[in-house]
Amino acid sequence: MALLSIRDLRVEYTTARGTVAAIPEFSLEIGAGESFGLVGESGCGKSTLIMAIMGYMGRNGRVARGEILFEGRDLVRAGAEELRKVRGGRIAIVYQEPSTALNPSMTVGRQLMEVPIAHSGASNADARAQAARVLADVHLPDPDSVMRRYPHQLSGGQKQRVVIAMALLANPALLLLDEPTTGLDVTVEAAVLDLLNELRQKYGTALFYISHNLGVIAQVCDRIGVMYAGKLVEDAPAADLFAQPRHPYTRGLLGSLPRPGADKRTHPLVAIPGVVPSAGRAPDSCGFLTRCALARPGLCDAAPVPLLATTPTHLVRCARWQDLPDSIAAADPAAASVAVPDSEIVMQARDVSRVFAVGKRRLIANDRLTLAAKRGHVLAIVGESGSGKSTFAKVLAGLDAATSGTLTVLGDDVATQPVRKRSATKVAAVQMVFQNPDGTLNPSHSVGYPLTRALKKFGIAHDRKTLDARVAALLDMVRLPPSLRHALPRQLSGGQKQRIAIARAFAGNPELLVADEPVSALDVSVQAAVINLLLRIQAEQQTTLVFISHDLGLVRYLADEVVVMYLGQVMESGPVASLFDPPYHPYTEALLSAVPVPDPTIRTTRIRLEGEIPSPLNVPPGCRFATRCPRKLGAVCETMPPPARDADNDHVIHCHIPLERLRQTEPVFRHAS
Amino acid sequence: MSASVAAETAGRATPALWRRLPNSPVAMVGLAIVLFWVVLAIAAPLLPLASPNALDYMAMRQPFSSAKHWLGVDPLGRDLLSRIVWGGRTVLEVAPIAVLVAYTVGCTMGLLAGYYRGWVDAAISRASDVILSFPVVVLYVILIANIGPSAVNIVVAVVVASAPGIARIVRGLVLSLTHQEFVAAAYLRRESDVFVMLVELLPNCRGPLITDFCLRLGYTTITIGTLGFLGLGLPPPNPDWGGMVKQATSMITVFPHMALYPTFALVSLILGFNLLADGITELSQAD
Repeated sequence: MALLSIRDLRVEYTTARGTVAAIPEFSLEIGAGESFGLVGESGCGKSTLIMAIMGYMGRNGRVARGEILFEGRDLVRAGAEELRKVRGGRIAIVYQEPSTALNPSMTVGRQLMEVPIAHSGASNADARAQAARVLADVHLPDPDSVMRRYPHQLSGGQKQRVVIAMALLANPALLLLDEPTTGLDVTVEAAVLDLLNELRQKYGTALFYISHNLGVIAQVCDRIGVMYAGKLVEDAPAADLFAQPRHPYTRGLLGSLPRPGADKRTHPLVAIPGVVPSAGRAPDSCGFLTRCALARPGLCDAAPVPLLATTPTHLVRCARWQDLPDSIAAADPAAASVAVPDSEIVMQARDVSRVFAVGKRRLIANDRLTLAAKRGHVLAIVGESGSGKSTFAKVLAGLDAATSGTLTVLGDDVATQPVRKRSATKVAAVQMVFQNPDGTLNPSHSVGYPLTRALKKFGIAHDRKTLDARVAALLDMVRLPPSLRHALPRQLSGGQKQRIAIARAFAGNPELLVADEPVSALDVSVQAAVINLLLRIQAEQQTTLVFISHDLGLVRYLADEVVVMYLGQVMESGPVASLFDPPYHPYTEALLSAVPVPDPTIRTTRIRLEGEIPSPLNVPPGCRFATRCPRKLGAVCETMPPPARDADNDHVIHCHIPLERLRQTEPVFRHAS
Repeated sequence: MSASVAAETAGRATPALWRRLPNSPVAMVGLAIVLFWVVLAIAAPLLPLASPNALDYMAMRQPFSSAKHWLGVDPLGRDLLSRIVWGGRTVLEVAPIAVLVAYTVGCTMGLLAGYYRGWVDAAISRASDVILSFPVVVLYVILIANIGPSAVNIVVAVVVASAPGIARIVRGLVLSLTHQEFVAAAYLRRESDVFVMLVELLPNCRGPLITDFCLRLGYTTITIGTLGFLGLGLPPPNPDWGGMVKQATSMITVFPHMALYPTFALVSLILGFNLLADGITELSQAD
């Protein structure tokens, strides 16, 4: 018998506009000890499903039909007391945001001890011993000291480990994970995923893992379900799904992701057109109908499509699965730009430092950065949070000023010139796209306002007629209808807001565009569309793009040159191709090995960094990376700044390890043969 | 693409606050009470009322309601109805002007403090703290006793007492708004500080400020009544609700209506403003 069996589930919400079926029909079985992953964009009903299983739907939600059988008991019809025993006991849940899952006013130990005390009536001493044991199991160093600490004294990754420990304390049969690594750095994410795999072996717990990231799911799950518009559209063993995705939506999701080794010229990303329909607005027949390039009238819109078995284990909800073409053509082939020729340097940073005074101490955010960007090229700056990438982006755009060093942009040194001191043409020439789509537009003004205002301030258009024409042209450039200029930001989706932000940045015809994680807050399919758009405009206008990201998969795809930063310093820099093959800087190697690869046939070297990135208030004296480096040579790394080793062709590695030894490193990504 | 954009846009639009006002019964009751007094105040010169200052010595003998004086007369024989209507006119002139001026001063202080921080913030915030540390009534008495009772001085007193509170709200909102990326985007267009404060920041403070504005109108109505009662309101013979209550207190046991009618007027207007504020809060939380 299956551990969890959801049969014909329908979840409805009562809203001001009537009853909406967030999940129209859903069936699923998860066996004991199985690891099942559910993917889909936001708004597909994944979290609603979790809430229905836990019985947390709020006052306006209800299960209208169907049953959720867990260990033979129907959770939908269970009483409050029965549910309370199941929740936290037999089923545990780990949410996305670890900082809100823990009570800030209680020590970690106290919160952990509550679980055995509440669920098995354990004594204080017994509960303490159990708590210490699971903390050791989730590899938190020094469990006794962790138990005495409050949540704010732990890092994000540590808090998530505590939450996982808490979930495991009651020895649950099923662990629900709702995007547990989404807010974490890629290195921390990799370590948490390793931990989940290890704990699953040890405890035999079944996992129900929800994510929008196929790469993450591929690391943890044996079986993957794809959810769209509240329905399961595909369900297959992980290897099958990646090797032979059947449903056009699954293919769309995979096409939106950069594959390892692929770049923008050889394998352009293919975005899924349109957006996820809001709950209850998807067509009854096939929910994906409105966004599917392969939909056939008369067949796909005729009747509700059932889940069809292509093999005994591979189910797909597509009326055309047998006669689908092998590949889906690129909808936006313009993204595939030609190779850029070598060109002059438009931005050259030399020894740029940004030091903040914190009381009497010095916070070193950027430490003697030296890097350059060429006209029409994409320069990516990567590193974990806290590496100083965003500080440099701000200095470059003029939102902050460097403490020392020179930053030459189009011939002038602007290192200590914030926007107010720069000339109008210089300000127009260096523009920026920000990370957070919700903060990027002023909620009080229409979408057209920042565009009109930028055109006026940069002296590009003054009279109403030219302004209107230019705004329409900008909106068209980012593929938005001209009518949208009168809309308010709250009426736009995240992807649309980022498009407006891109249009705004290009209003003054910039020479250099700084993009600080412009897509990290967006869904994968939207990410692909926005990236394609950005690269198309960048290539057309020969703009230099400085792309700040923590996502090495994306960087591999779009960059021409890459700079790897750690704790305010450059660790490695060079052309993109040279960076992803040995010789690597040990930090780059660790970052690469942490990338969740959406392809189970690729084997990745497993390198996990110990500890946390040190505080920029207290930087290590020698190599910045020495405290966490898995290949540290010895005292020399801790005391001497590393030499710059010129690998070849502008590829520079700052490391004490001789190049010959770095060259002998095995590649991080290998095809399993 | 464009079809889905249009559908999505239409589906999520929320109408402006004033259009949604009918959704809140509380707000509508408040609005009705306020509008009742506004209409009376505007129409006062057109209504067939006795002059508010005309003395009717004959009515003194029987000061209760009569065909000639619907609500009776005050201790000096002046028509109560007329004085209440004209008194409402005074309140509805002075209160909004005082609050608007207080808002101008308070928003300016709050914007400067929240935007520039550092010593500007320290100076403005400490000065505000000093004013806010006084009990409001004491502050009024000190101010009016020194500068003399008049409509202009009531406005001055209200501004001094309210601006620090408004500044505090605006400062808090501005502190968090300046971290938003649209402010950075404005710098990247070389906008001036004044533009950023007035066009980028201030409009985003309006949600909490609209509620506060209605509440403050209520408080100011109380203030004007209190000042009138303490003899610090408009100088006689101007009709003034607080002053009317004060005049009637000496004979409240004999002729209670002389104090009750102006008190009802005062209470109803304050209630109207407060209900309106409650309703607006309710609507903005429902977003």
